[in-house]
Amino acid sequence: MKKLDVIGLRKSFGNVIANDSVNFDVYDGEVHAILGENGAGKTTLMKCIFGLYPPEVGEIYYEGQKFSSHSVKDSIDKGIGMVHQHFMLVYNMTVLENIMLGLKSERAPFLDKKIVTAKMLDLMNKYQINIDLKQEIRNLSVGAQQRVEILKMLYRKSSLLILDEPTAVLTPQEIEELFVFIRQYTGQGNSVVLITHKLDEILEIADRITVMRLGKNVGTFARKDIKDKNELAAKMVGEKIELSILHSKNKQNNPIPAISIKNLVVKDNRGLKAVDNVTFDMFEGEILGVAGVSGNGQTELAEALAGLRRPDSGNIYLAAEDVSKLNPRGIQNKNIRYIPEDRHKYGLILNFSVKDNLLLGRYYAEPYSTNGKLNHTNNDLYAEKKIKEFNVMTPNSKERVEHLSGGNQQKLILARELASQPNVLIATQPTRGLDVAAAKFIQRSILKQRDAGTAVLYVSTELEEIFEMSDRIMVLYKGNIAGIFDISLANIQEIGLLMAGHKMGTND
Amino acid sequence: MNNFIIAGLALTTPILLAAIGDLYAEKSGVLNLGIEASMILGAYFSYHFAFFFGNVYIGLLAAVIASLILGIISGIFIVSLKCDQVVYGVGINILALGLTSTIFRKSFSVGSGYEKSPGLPKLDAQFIKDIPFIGGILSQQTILFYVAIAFLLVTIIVLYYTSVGLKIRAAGDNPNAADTLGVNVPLLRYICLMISVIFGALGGAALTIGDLHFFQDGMTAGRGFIALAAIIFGRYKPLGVLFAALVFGMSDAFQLKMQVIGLNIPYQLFLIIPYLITILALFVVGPSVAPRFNGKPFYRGGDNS
Amino acid sequence: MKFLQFFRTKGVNNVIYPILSILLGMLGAGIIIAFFGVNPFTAYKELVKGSFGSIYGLSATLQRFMPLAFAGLAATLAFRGGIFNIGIEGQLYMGALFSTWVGISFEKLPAIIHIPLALLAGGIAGGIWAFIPGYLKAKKGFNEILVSIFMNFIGVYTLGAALNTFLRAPGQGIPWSSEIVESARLPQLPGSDLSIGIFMIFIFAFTIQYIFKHRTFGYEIKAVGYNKDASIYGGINTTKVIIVTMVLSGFIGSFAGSVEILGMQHRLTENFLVDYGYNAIPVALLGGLNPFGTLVAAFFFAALINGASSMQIALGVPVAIVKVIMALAILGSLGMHGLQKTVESRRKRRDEQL
Repeated sequence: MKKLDVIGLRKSFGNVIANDSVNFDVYDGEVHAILGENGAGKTTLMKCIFGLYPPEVGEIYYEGQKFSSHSVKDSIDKGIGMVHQHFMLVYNMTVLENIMLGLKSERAPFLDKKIVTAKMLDLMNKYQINIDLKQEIRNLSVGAQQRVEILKMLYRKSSLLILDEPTAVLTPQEIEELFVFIRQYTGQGNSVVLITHKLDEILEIADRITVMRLGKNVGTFARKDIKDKNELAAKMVGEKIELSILHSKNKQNNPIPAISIKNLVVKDNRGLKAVDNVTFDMFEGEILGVAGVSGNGQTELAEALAGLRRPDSGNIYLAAEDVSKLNPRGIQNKNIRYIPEDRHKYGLILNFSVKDNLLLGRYYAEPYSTNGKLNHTNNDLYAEKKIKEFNVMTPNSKERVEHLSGGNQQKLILARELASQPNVLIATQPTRGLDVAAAKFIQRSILKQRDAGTAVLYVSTELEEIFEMSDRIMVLYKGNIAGIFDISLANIQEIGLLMAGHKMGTND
Repeated sequence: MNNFIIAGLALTTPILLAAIGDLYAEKSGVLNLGIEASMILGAYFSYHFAFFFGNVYIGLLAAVIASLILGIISGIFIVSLKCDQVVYGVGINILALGLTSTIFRKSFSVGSGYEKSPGLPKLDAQFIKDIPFIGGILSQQTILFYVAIAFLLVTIIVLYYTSVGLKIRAAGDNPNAADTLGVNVPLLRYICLMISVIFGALGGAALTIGDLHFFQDGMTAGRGFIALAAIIFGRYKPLGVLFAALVFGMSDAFQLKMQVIGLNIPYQLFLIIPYLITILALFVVGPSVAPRFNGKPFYRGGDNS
Repeated sequence: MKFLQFFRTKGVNNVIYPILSILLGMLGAGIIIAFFGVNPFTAYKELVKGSFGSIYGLSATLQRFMPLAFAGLAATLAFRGGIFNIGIEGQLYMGALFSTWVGISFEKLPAIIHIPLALLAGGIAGGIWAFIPGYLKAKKGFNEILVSIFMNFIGVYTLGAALNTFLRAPGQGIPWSSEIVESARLPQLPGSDLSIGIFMIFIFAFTIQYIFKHRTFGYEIKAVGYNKDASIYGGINTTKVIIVTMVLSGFIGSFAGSVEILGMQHRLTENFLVDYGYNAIPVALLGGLNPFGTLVAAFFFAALINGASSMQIALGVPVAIVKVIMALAILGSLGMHGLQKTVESRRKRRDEQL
């Protein structure tokens, strides 16, 4: 029986078509994985199904019934539940209150805490999930918060659960528990849609796999018809991907360390050790790729190197000098530059002009200003030059950056950060969400900068991208270095295993 | 001593009414600086209509009607048009001040002394007087004092023991989460704003027809902001607000008493108390108890971090 | 900060919206005036006559302009830095208090020292008053809006307390100060009763504009106002920028009080300037958060305030009607921006559905 049937769905944002005539269905009792690169339209499709976005064209049927009007409430009432990447939980309320929110109470208008508690205990018993119902959400771990989200949907009798990248925030053990739950849940005739780009997980849990690329469904396959990961990866990228190296490496015999990290410990916003006693060197003219599932300390490591996050202990040596206690400006003055992960939050001031954005992190120094006076003549020339050099599509340098496309915004950041031929460049997810042409441009520029002698730390959660770009690969797992490999000796299976928390064999 | 407490409670009543009412708005995510506007409108229109009709209850009704109009306007600006809540609050306060002053000066001959309106009766029934210890104090309060206390109790139940209270708290803390669970966040904020302005207006009325029986330009003199201070000082909890309102009301009464006695300490130092201890309390305990989306407009599908 | 974007739309809207808003305000107030049985056109004619009809009227308008302009510039500076300084009322009260104190305290100082000293005392006091919410915002993450409102009341009552104690003129029954001594009074422009404070307004306006356009500090203020996270990333010490911006704003705001006393009233009273600190907010916003736009808006509202007295004397329309015009103008502007944005997003949503 078909549980869900989506026919000819189309959704666009401005000029960007996020979903184009997508057909998609889910059967009773199956785990249906959706696979695709970032920006392939997976999440948009799910948000349409869940009622968060109204589709422009197309029909959605649930258990044979067509959605006429479609709000989130309609979806939940019909039995669709979604667990978002960013949890939809009320932080300052208890687990129980979060479960009850929006439900009709049996003791209306009063809350029926006892009744809900009893039912919840049954539910948790049934699925072997354990949560303290009286605890406030803000005191829970990320994994526990996810379990609350799932319980919230189960309590609402969801028979289809949409899980958006659920494993990105989980420990391997929690992932195993999640999979046990999924098997039990679907065993009772319920269905799960799993959005992910982790091939191993798909092969382990999915019954069918839909591959999305550039907003389209390019094919739905049964698990048993898929031979291995390479086949899956090929379908995702669209051509047989070559895990060979994009670039010609300029091998140096005596590499000079540009920057040395010694016993670095960095805490995250919750005060937990995100980077735990890490030691490594970065060499001139080399790209050190950082592989890892997101949330394993990459962001915190990058922010510590950029001066945005004060390390808890340990040192960062540039030549002989410890720069670990410098603020962002101090770091910039050492010509260490940073391409941040979130370009709208950190990388740009959207209300500023192209020119003013090109001055971020530079405005205070010569030749951009002298004794606190901005040198407009110089800065205008500088802006024009960078716009041309990096092929930024903008009417002029006075245009507000919010009117530029994502690719052009990222080029602007790159232009700015590379303007001083940095000693060290830290690039975190520099191609995320960009179209192919812009992504290639960014990658080529970074490779060129490496060839000019810059030491690059290249953070990406896309393993393929890491292999394309890196001279060496460092795997981060739970804030520790799981291994560092020369690209010529690296093997994608092995690195994948390390990312998943396997220990390196003794013979390595 | 009893007289002092009687005056203190009479001055607590307007603050308590306005603060508990506004607690709904704040909890639902609206930073309502216009509470001063609702108080001055309530103060004036209750006085105006009580005076010309010779009936306090028509005065009360007028205050409520004026506040309903204000509430709808506030809802349109803050909830529907998603305007900046602070700029709106500053603007509406100036408007209410100007409007009441204009109509007041046109309707009454100012300068010939304050013209007294009828006042709300004191509930001095014998059975209240007979309550041991506090009977004498309670019998000198008007009905609005009892309205305030009842409203406080109802609010505790609504906010913490009913489904709608859960929705209100969620709307202020994570409106997007509430939205996905079918909570109508805009409607809820409209309703909470209405509650805020109605009880703000009753608070204003408590000042004129409840206590002094006359009106003066800008006579609320920042009591709306004292109500806000009471919410902050009371850590956004009903009983905390009650405690804060009592402290502020009593210090106000003390200040008035000192003016009468003619002590050598300037009475203004006591008027500072509510503001000063609120800032100090923020300093000591920290600011993090406000609903996380207080003051921010709600955009469906928006940032919910 | 959303409100910055609202009031800094580029192009013609930046002129059209304020004018439309003010017309809306006058229309609304006109209806109320008509309600009183007075022809609104007659009333407004009387108003214009009162503020521009004579040298005396114009001079009185300029006198109202001065405190409004200082306060408006203070608001403009803070708002561009993304800081809601609603505490200008308190800052100007503290400015007046300390300028007065210095202005009555020294008998034999030469004017060239006494005047700057008095202004500086007021400026420092206003700066400190603004420092408190600024510091609490930058260092502790407190809501500067609420703290600065509370500081207003503390400031106003502190001035009252001072006038009842150490600042009270000896042997006087009324709570007011002694007269400012001759050497601390601001010189007046020849042939008028305007003080040289009017030059200071233009010096401040040009300085602010120069800082915004040409100084790295101006770049920092604007950057922090738009995006604090990106500012930190961009090497800006946001804590310092927020505090310094706020202190400068309080410094400028204090001149609204001290110039009024040292240049005009020459004696401090409890209600020497009421609500000018709050009125600075509509002034700055309708002026598009641009220093010179702010001066235009301040002049306009000053004319309203001044003309309203003539209107009251001639026709009995209460002065408070000016508050109605001012409030309707700011609410109208706010509403129009809100409406425009709502319509735009509706249209966008509809276009996407086609």
